[in-house]
Parts: sequence; structure tokens; C-alpha cells
Amino acid sequence: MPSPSQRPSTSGIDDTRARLEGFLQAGRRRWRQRTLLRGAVGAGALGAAAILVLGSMHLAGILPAALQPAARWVPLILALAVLGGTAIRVFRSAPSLRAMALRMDEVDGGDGSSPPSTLKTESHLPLIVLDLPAEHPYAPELARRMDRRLEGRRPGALLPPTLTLEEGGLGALLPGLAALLILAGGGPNTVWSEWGVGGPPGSGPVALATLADEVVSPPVDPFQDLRLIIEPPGYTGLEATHLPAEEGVTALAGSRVRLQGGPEAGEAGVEVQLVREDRDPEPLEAVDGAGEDSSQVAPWEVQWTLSHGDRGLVVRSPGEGRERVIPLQVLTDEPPEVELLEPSRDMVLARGEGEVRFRARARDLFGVDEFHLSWVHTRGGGESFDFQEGSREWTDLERTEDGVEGTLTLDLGELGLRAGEVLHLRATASDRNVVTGPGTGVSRTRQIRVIREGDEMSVDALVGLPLDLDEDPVLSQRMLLLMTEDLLERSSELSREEVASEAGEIARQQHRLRDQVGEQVFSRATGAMQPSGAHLGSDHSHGDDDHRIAELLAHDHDPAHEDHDHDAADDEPSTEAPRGGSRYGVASIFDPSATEPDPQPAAPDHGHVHAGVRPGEAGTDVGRVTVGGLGELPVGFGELDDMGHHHDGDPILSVNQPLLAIYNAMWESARRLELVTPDASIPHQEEALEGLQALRENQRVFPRGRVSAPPVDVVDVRGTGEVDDADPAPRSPIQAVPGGDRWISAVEEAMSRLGASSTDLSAHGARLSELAIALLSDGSVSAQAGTLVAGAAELARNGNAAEAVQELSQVLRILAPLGERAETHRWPGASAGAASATFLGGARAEEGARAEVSDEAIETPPFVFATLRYESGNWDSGPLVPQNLIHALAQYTDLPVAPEGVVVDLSSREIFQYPVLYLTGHIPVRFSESESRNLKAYVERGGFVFMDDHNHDIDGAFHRTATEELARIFGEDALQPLPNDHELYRAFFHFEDGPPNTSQELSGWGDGIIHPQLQAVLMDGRIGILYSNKDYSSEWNYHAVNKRFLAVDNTRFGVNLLIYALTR
Amino acid sequence: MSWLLRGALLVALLVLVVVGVPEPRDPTSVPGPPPPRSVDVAAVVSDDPADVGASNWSSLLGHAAESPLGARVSGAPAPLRLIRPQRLRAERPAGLGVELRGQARTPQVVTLTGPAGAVDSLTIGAAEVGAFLLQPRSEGAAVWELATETGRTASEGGWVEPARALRILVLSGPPTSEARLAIRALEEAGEEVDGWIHLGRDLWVGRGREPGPLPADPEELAGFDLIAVFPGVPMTTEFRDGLETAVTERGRGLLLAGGAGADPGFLSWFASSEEPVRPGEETSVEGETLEWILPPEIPPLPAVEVTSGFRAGPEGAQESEFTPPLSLITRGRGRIGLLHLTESWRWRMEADAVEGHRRFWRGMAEWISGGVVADPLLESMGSDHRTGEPIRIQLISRGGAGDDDERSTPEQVRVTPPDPALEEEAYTIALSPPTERGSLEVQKAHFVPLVPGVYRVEALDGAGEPLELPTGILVRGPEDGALDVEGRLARLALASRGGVLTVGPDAAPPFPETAEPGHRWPWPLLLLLGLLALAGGEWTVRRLSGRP
Repeated sequence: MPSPSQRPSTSGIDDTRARLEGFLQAGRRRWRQRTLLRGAVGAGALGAAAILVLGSMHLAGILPAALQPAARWVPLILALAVLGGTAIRVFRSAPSLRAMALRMDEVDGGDGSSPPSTLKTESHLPLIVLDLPAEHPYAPELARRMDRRLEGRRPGALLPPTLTLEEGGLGALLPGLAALLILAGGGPNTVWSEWGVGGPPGSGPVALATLADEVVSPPVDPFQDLRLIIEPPGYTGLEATHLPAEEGVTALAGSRVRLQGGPEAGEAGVEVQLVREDRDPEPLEAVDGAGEDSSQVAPWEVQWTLSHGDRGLVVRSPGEGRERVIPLQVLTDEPPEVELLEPSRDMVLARGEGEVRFRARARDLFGVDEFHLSWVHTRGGGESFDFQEGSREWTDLERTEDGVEGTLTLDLGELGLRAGEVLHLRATASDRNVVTGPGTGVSRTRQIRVIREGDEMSVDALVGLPLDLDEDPVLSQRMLLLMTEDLLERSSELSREEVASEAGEIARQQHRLRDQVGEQVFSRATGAMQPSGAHLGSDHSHGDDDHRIAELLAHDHDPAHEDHDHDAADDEPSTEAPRGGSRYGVASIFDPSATEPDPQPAAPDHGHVHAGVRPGEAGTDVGRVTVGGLGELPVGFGELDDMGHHHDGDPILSVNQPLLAIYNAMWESARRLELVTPDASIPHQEEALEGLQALRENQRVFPRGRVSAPPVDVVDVRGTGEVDDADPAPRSPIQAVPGGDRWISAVEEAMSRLGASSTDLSAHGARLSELAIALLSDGSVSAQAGTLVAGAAELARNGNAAEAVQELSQVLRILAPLGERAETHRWPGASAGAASATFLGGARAEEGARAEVSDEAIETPPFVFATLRYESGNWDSGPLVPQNLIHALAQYTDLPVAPEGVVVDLSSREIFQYPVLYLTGHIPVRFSESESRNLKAYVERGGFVFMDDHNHDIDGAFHRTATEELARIFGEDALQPLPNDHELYRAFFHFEDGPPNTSQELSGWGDGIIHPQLQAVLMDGRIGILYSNKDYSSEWNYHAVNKRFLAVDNTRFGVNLLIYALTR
Repeated sequence: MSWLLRGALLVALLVLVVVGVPEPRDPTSVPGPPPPRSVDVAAVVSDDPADVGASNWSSLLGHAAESPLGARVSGAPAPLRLIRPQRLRAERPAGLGVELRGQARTPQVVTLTGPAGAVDSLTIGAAEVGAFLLQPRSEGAAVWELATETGRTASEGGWVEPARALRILVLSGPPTSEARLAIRALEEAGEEVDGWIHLGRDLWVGRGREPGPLPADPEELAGFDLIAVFPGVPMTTEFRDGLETAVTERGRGLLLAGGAGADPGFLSWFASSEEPVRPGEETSVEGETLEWILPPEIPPLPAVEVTSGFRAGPEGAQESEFTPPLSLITRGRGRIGLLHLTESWRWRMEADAVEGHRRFWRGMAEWISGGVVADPLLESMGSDHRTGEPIRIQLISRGGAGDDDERSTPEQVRVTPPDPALEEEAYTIALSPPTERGSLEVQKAHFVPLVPGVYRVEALDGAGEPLELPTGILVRGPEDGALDVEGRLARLALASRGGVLTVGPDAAPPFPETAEPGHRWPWPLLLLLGLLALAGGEWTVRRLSGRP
């Protein structure tokens, strides 16, 4: 324990500290004085050195004339800079007392025995004394040591000498030499006048004259008077605007942009290039004295019409190597907004008569030019679908403040609208944009349909019962025709036996198809099956019904066709008798006129025994139909109008005469093939095909809005499907989306260059301009990035390197939003380690705290099937498809699924709420602008659209127009065949051969060709649009309750489709 | 006139030289009041030799040697504090927090300089925390320097892990738009996503006809950096235990999304109470009104017009009206996120914020997967390492469970100096073998760095093969960033084999806020500059007007 005498003396350490502080303060004053003096001497010496160098260059004649005006300021600037720097150093960077204390240590030096990392208390004594508490036990000892060190010390010893001998000598010598040089050059005035412009009067007229001769014009800036004149398209009625070039251009497409400059721009040969998206820059021709109006003639001008894809303008002065990038932003003139106010609903009429009032409104920012009611009159279907189109002017047109409103009363009688035909009407308006347009806006489409007698039966025949697929399918007539033609082509290369064998096989297939047709004819007549190989009306071995048909056919004898048939028989010498049946019978039933729909169905003659039912007439009681051996099935949906006909009293009215004709043509075809005369079978095949197509045309009725689809009882259906062979495949990864990363290194490099070197900024600016052009040309990068780089280039050229770097850092944030950047956050509880903090209010759980595990599943929102409604075409041609697929999903999976689907407008924002959209139709489809935009956005954002051609025609109306629309929206090559080993075919069930064929294909429906692949628009490797022309809409358009009749459920592929869409 | 000016100029210079100039700002002081300090010479010496040194340091003089210095420094926080990210991964953002402490009245501009030059600057005020978002470009050592406008500097760095895609397992019950588009966003961002989606009836997309419950083996789950769970996954206690082990012991991330966090078993992790918690009801929330508070690595969803589902967690349902859209916690070595927003997909589909949705999911995956995953874990004790001072490191590893366990045991540590020229001088430190197999072992070692830079330290097995990703330890020179007196004294005390005692900030008296010397107007300087300007102007006018 220290004795009282050893206790620290407070006054001792305080006195020592005061002495020490005084000593250090004095040292610091000295430091300032010396620094100022050194700065003054240095400034003089540096200025003098500059005078010597420049003067020597001037005398030697190597000082460029252009630099002379600036050179005279260089010495002064240098001297002032040194003085300024010295002042800053003195006033802001003078050493603190502690620094002086450390300096004192350095001057005193260590004992040299310790390694550099070992610090001794002794050597840091001044620092310690400065902060040592007075009551510290070691304070007296340390104070004594400090006092010893302070004894006899001068503050100046802490500092290096003010000026060394060499420095003083140089400081005196240089100004002396500079003074000599100035005197040798004729004194200050002469030197001034020779170096500068406008010398003093004393320099004399000779000097002035000499000066005038030697004066070099200051460098002209070819960009100094650049300005922009933007003339909006004439139709807008907007006035031209004048802008400085720095502001860039934001204008409507079609605007005339004039970039004007002064005469110096023309003299400098300024070149201008237009940067367009994804294209190389295009040069623009400069016109001297351009402008039609002589008062507006500019010395130099470049002009062009702004169009979409224009991203920037590069103005380049080749002589000086300067360039400027002017960003362009092109605005789009939106098409008119059109609303159809009346009628508010589609209409189904019993007859094509009466008047309908139409009222519509169109609005456009720059005025509406044309406004009318356009119509499409459709009839038929499939390949023989036909339509006409036209437009009507409004009878009453009223212009309002923001648009125009039209009214028209349409007399349907004038249009000749017949039974089964549909009139599609919509208001169409185009704007006055004659430059890039005109933009056309359309309203919602309204349809007026005239109901056709027999629609209900036809509809039910299609949708009432699913068709089962055979492993050995019956080939279509078109397929047989193609096979026969192929055989004929190859027949010269084949032996007769081979031709006979192949022809026999085709004949076998022809018989199978004929059996199917016969089944239809026969079932409608009696409900019994027609045996294979029989010829209707000719085989008397059949039952009473056949006899009655034969009798009936005998009455329907057509001499004209008889001749035809005889001709055919004559053409083909028979080597063997036909298998059963009389040729008379064949001739008697053929009635070519029956294959054409009667445009004006006559009232049936009940008193006359006539063959079959003409198209357009009902053949059974509406509401019930007898099919095969299934007995009576309910048929018919919706209401029946007074056009229905009843023929209960006629037992043979259900015979389908066109089908009989087809049946017999097939018989003839098969017979010719069996005779190994395939060429002779072709006319009969064509005849049969033509008949089938005509029949199909009549049967293809679009049951718009008349089929009720009851909700699926999901609970009841749940788990009833067999999933033994289901094995969902894993998801395949998709490609990462490239960002702006590829530009980052270029921008970073530019930043580091700018940061590292403040000289040669114009060269940096040029490089940045190149970068801006490249960015503007890259369509995948935001134009804002290019614009910012262009701004940075301009800043760099103007010498603002720091601001340019700031601008470039903004570019980095655009290109790599997750890149290095700084943000200020206010974190709650930020005093704790941020990385381990609980950020957002969640409290850390106590160890072991755990609630009971619940097996209750958290409810997930159910899947809702959405059908797309589009303005053109018949979007609702497959009304039972949604219910059937919902049923299938519930049947095979446990997914929560809404029992009913919804219908959403393609033009509405509502579509983005649904993961899967279904689109189908028979007739031409044309998407409006809003529909196109929505469809593209939906797919690009990750949606899935199943688009199915309800006709499955190879080049039918829907297929042709739908694929055209997809090409227009997504690009020419966007729709690509989907490989048959795509994961779509393994998403739930496995379809090793790709898309399953539909009964529509196999039975010769549509074009009669099996489409081997589906097509798709892919987005980053995922299907965005699945396009099918296999006609799944017909395949699945039946009541799900009838699925029980199928050997194999044909909606299994639909499950794959939905699972793919929901999980990829 | 001109002579008058010139004379005045000379007089002013004379005044400045003779009278002096205002007191300059002390470059060694910090903005605001300097922290209080005291020095107890030879008063405090640590009993732990490891605190003062080892090996060659043991020969240093003892307590009675010449002026051994014990320093007592206040626990007042350093004026400039860096909050280093947990991990540095190439091509992935990492938030470097910056805190400006003290009572500075005006905000400060803090500039960050990275390996590629100046990166960015940030203005922060006192008691604020700023964040620089770093994105190292490549694997290896990286150091970032931070400087305030007052000259204070600090640095932070470490070893950057190599770039690679995150391995993410998405578990979902019935497929939903939320799960599907989250997977798509993550895949678009370049991550490797394995999606297991339950279709019911023992059918899984991603697992095929996989019967039975989900795997409960933490090792299998630890094969993923992040496990995202969506509602409807058939949950078992074993699976949940496996998840927790993977998170807490293996450092993996767990994200509960789409409302999956409403499961009481999960909610308990976020609740402080041991009582079973009930999830909040699902409500609707406007996207524009959401208030995000996120670490810098996670960019919030854009403020757009969209209505989304929202299921508040326990704290929102029980305590306050406001629940942030995302809750993040650390649990053990891993991190857990609870996304209260159940329909983030609407940003993508309805508001066309495809890029924003992608960034949000990527950022969320990055942050949540950024736990401590190294096994064995090598870490250095302390945060401010200097050349010449021993660095203590500890290796935490789990010994093999038994003879059949092929898990390698760390047996040595290799230390590689930062200077490529010194790489040959890399040396290894042998570790004592674990005492008990299967137990958690902590092994300690130390080394003395000689040159500044990032030292690469890695654990090796018996064959000398590295076991895990290396650790980087930033070592600074003895004077770097230690301009304050406290730091200098502390280092001085350590170097003289004394001890350093740190006392809490409350022990130090509050330092009065006063105007520092040098803050008053430098009138003499202004006078001089004004005279210089006048003289220059006069001289210019005279010359241009042709007068001598």
C-alpha cells in the first residue's frame, strides 16, 4: 500500500500537463508559420517555373497558338493553387496537441530494442500525460519523467527545418530566371500581348497588328446551337414545340422531328445517326437551308419522322471527335375507345325478320375519323364455312365533346338472314391517325342468330354421348382417299399382287367406315344394326325394315343419277358381280340435291311417301332420341320454337337420305378397290367425302347459350377415377431470365475510369456515348439506362466527372437492382447485431415452446376453370368442356376445385386472376387491340392458355385466323410444334405417343387427318399457349355423366393439361 | 488603388502569420463529443494468458516490468460501427450495415470503397443505421473501406464464397398460383428449384407415386439451402422436427408462404408465449398501403394497385393492428421467414410487376438461406484484428456418430496469408482430436498475423483435404482505423502485456456537447481570401483595360 508521501500530487501532474500543452501549442504555432512560409515560397517558385517553361516554349515557337490565351493564366493559377492548398492545410489540417505529442515521441526516438509492434510506455509519455487523471497512482512518476523531457527543449525542435538550403535556393532562383526571361522578352506588356489577346495600348500598333494576324479564332462548338423542333402529326391539331437538344424527344409516333443547328454545325460536317431498337444505327441526311418556309430556314438541319423503335439520336462531329446522344421516347396514339350501347345482349330469333336498333359511341383523344357498324354474316361450318362482311353507316350521327355517337336501325329482312345463320355486329371506329395508323377500335361483338329447325337434335347428337376411341380406329374418308391416291402414285413401282393387297386393305377400311355410316342410317330408322357388306335397299335378306326402306327407295328413283351410275359401271368392266344388291337400288336412292341444304325448307308433304328428312327438318321428337342399343336418351336443350316438325305417323321419316347416298358411294368405292381398280374408286370416294362434308355442315350447329352445364358435385366425384397408371413427372427447370448483367461490367469500368482520371474527360464522354448507343439499341434493356448513360456522357464532356459517376450509379441500379448500392434504413432495435436481429416484430420463441401439431390442412383456394370470351367468333362453342374437365380433375386428384367454371372477357383485367384459360371456337377469330394486349401480357407474366380449334380443320376458318393472330401477337415463329415427348404428356398420366387422337379425327370429322402434334408458344421454356387443332373441344364436349359409357376416359389428357398448367 | 490593395494583402498575410489562425479541427477526434476515457496504469491485468498473447509473447515482461500499462476504456460505442453481413457470397447481395453513433447534429456522408473502387455513398444521421448493399463479383478475399467526410475510416471484409445457384425445395399441397409463380420467379432468377407438389391420393409432382410422409431426415433436408413450405402439405410431427433440426442445427432457411405459417406448429416459432397460438384470419390488403421493413437484401414488392390475401401472424392478430407483410427471425444457426402476404402472385399477374415479384422472391430466398451453414464452423473470436496480435479461432464441429459414420473430423487448421507472395508460408495448426465421437466439439487455436489483409483459414481433415468453405479474417495494420485515443491506448496496453478493461457506457459520464475548436468562423482566412479576390479582380481589370 503506498504511503501518503507516495500519493500522487495533483498540482504536480497538472503543472506538467500545462507545461506540456504550452510546449505543444508553441510547436503548433511554429508549424503554421513554417507551413505558410513554405507555401508562399513554393507558390512563387511554381509560378516562376511555369513562366519559364511556357516562355521558353513561346520563344522556341512550340507553344501552340490555341494555347496561348490560356497559357498566360497558368502561372498565376498554379501559384494561387499552391497558396490555396497551403491555406487549407494550415487552417484545417494543423496537427492537434495529441498529434504533436506523438511527434514529440518520434523526434525523441525509441530505444531501438523493441520490435516495431512493441510499444513502450516511455515513448508514449506525452500522450499519456495529456490524458492522465490527476489522482492516478503513477501520476507523480510520470510527471517527473515528463518534466525531465521538457527541460531545455525548444518547440521548434519538434518540427523539420523551415526551408532547406536547396529549397531556398530554388525558391529564389526560379523567380529570378522568370524575371530575366520576361525582361528579355521586352517586358511584361510585350509578353502579355504576345501571349494574350488585346494587349495594352503601350505595346504599339505594330504589336497590335501582329497580334491580329496571329490571333487564332476560338474553337467553335458545332453543337452549341442545336435545338429540336417537334411537329406532331397534322391530325392531332397540336402545335410544334421547340426544345433544346439536351432535353431529348418525347413525342407521338409520326411526329416530324427537326434537329437544327447553326452554320458551324454544317461547317463541321456534323453527322447524325438514328438509333433504333435491335438494329444498327442509320445515318440521317443533313439538309442545308432546309425548310419549306423560307422564314424558317435553318443553316443546318436533319429531319425525319419518328416511329416506334426509335430510341436515340447520335450527333457526331467527326472533326473534333465529339458526339452527343439524344434519347427519344416514342408515344403511341391509342385507337378510339368504342362502346356498343345497344343492344345489350346477343339475340336468338325464330326468323330473320324485324328491326334491331343499334347505338354506339366512339371516343378518341385526337378525334374520330370513320365510325360505322360492321357486320359479318356467317353460314355453314367446317371447311365449307362461308361468310360475308360489310358495314353500314349510322343513320343518325351526333358529335359530342369527346367523341361521336351513332344510331342505326337495321332491318334484318333486308339482310336475307336465313335459318341457322348468324350475324355478328360490332361498331368500328378509326382515328384520324394517317401517319402510323389509323388506329381502329372495335366494340364488343353482338350476335344475332336465327334458329334452325333441327338444331336441337344435331346439338344433342354431338354433345350427348362421348365417342369411344378404338385401338384400330375406323379411318376417315379423306384418309382413305389419300391412301388410294398414294397407292395410285406408287402403283407403277409395285407388283399387281402388292397393289391388290393394298387396295384390298383400303377396301376393308372402306367397309368399316361404311358400316359406321350404315349404323347411323339404320339406327335412325329402326334402332337395329345394319350388317356389314350390305347395300341399302338391295339386300332383301334383311328384315321388314329393310324391305320397307327398299320400297321407299324404289319410289325415290332418280333417272339422272341412274345414268350417272350406269356410266360409272360402263367405265369399269365388271369382272365379278357386285356382292349383293341391285344397281337399280343404288341409283334410286342417290339424290344429289339432297346433299345441299335447302335454303327455304318447304313444308313437309305428309301425304307423300318421301325419302328421308331434308337437312333442316327434325326427324324425331325433340327431347328424346334412340341411339344404338342404348335406348332412348334425353336430347334437346333450351326451348323449341314453333318451327319444329313432328312426323310421328311416318315410320320411315328418320331415314337420312344424304347418309344413304354416302353409304352407297362407299359401297361403290369399296367394290372398285376390291376389283383392284383404285382409280375407279376415287370418284366414289370423292362423292362420299363431299356428302360427308355437306352433312357435317348441316350438323355443325353451335349450341350457343343453350346448353346448361350443371355444377359438378365435386365431393361425390372425388377419388372415383383410377390413378393406378398415373405417375406425375417432376418439373423440368426453366431457363433463368437474362437481366442487364451483361452491361454491368461496362458501366462499372466506365465509372472506375471516370473516378480514376479527371483528365481527358472528352474521351470518357465519347466512350460513354458509344455505351449509350449500344444500350439504346438493345431492346431487352430499359431505354432509361441508355438515356442515363447519354446524360453521363454529356456531363463527362462538360467536365463534371463526379456527376457523371453519380448518373452511372443510377444506371447500375437499373441494370442490377440487387447490385451494390446504398440505402438508409431505420431498423427497429438496430443496436443489436443486424444479421441476428428479429427484423419484423416476430419474437424469438423460447426453446421448447411448441404448440400441438395440427393435422388440419390449411385451406387453399380452389382451382377455378376459366373460359375466355372474345369479341369475335363463337367463344362458347364447347359449353360442356369446362364441366367435364372440372369433373376429371375432381375425379383423379384431390385438388380443391370450384364446381363451376367462369367466363371471363379476354379484354378484361379479370383474366389475370386465373391460372388457366380455355379458348375455342369454330369461326374466324380476330382479337381486338385490348384482347391482343391482354393475351400477350397474360402469357408473358406466366399464364397458361389452352386454345383449341373446335373444327380441327387443317386450314379452316378458326385455325387460319387464330394462328394468324398468334403470329401477329407473339411473332411469326412463336407458335412451334410441341415435341411428343414433352413433359406435358407425363404431367399426370403418361401419353407415350404424344397427344391422344380424338374421335373427331378418327371418324373423319374436319379434314379427316390425324394431327400428330400439338403446337405451343413457349415462354422461357414453359408452355404459354397450347394450341391444338385436334378438336378436343368436340371430344370433351359432353355431359360428364356419360363418361361411364367409355372404355377409356378421354378426358385423362385434359387432366394432364391442367396439372401441367397448375404446377409449371 | 492597386497599391493600396497590395498593401492590404501583405498586411493580412502578416496578421495571419503573427497572430495565428483559429484552432483547427482535431483530426484525431470524432464528430460530436469524444467518448470519455480513463487509464489505470498497471491496474488491470487479465488472468487469461490467451487475452494477452501466447507463444513468443510469453517471454514478454511480467507485471513488474517497466511501465506495463493497463487501460480501462469505456464501453461507449465506437463512433462508426460496421455491421458485417453473416456471409459473403459471390454474385449475391449482402447488406453491410453502418451506424453513426454519438450526438452529431448534422448527417454525415459515408463513402464506401470496394475492391473495384468507389462504390457508393450514403448520408446518415446519428442513431440511424444505413446499409450498403454489396454484391461481390467473385470468390476470394474482399475488403470494403468506409470513410466519413470527417476522415474517420473503418473497413470490413472476409472471404467470399463461390457463386452458385441456391438449392431450394418448394413443398406445396394442392397447386396454387402463389406456389407456382414463386417457383417460376425463383427459377427465372437462376436458382435450382425442386418442387414437390401434392396432388392428393399419394401422387406428387416431383416425387411421383411416393407413398408415406415427407422425409424427416435433417440430413436430406439439409441438402437444400432453403425449404419453402406452402399450405396443404401433409404435415407430421417427425417432418416438422426434421425441419427444425435442419434450420437450427444445420443453418438452413425455412420460408412459410402462402398462408402455411398459419399452422399452429409453425406459429409457435414466432410466438414468445408457450400458449398455443391461433392464426389470424385471412383478410384483404391493398398493395399500395403495405408498409415494408426489410433488411437491405430483400427488395420489397412494388407499391402498386393490387388487392392481395393477407393472414396476420400471432403478433398481428393478438397485439397490434399492424403486421408487417413479412416476419423474419433467426432460430439457432438458421433463419425463418413468415410471409403474411398469401398472394404475392397478384403483383406479377395483375400489376405486371414481374421483375419486382422475381426480385422479391430472390431476395427473400437469399436472406433466409443466409444462415450459418458451415459444418464444421470456423470462426474468429473478436472483430478487430491487428497485425502482431494473436487471433483466437475456434472450430465447432460434430464428431462422427460412430464407427460407421464417414463424416470427416477436422484435425488441423490451415492459415494462408493474404499476400500471394507469402502463400508458401501458409501453415497448419494441429487440433486436438475430439474427445467424444458424435458430440459437439469446440476446438481452439490461435495464430499471429504479420501482414494486413484477409487471411484465409480453413479446416482440414486428417488427409489435409479442406472440409468446408474457407473463412476469411480481416487483419488490419496497427494504426488503421485506430485514431481515437481509446483505441490507441488499448492497443498500447496490449502490446505492453498489460490488460484492457472495458466498462459499460453507463459508467462513463455524459460528455457535454460543445462546439469544437475550429468550428467558429475563420475570419482572418475570409479576410485574406477576400483581399486576394479584390487584388485579382483589380489586376485583371487593369490588364484588360490596357493600363500598366
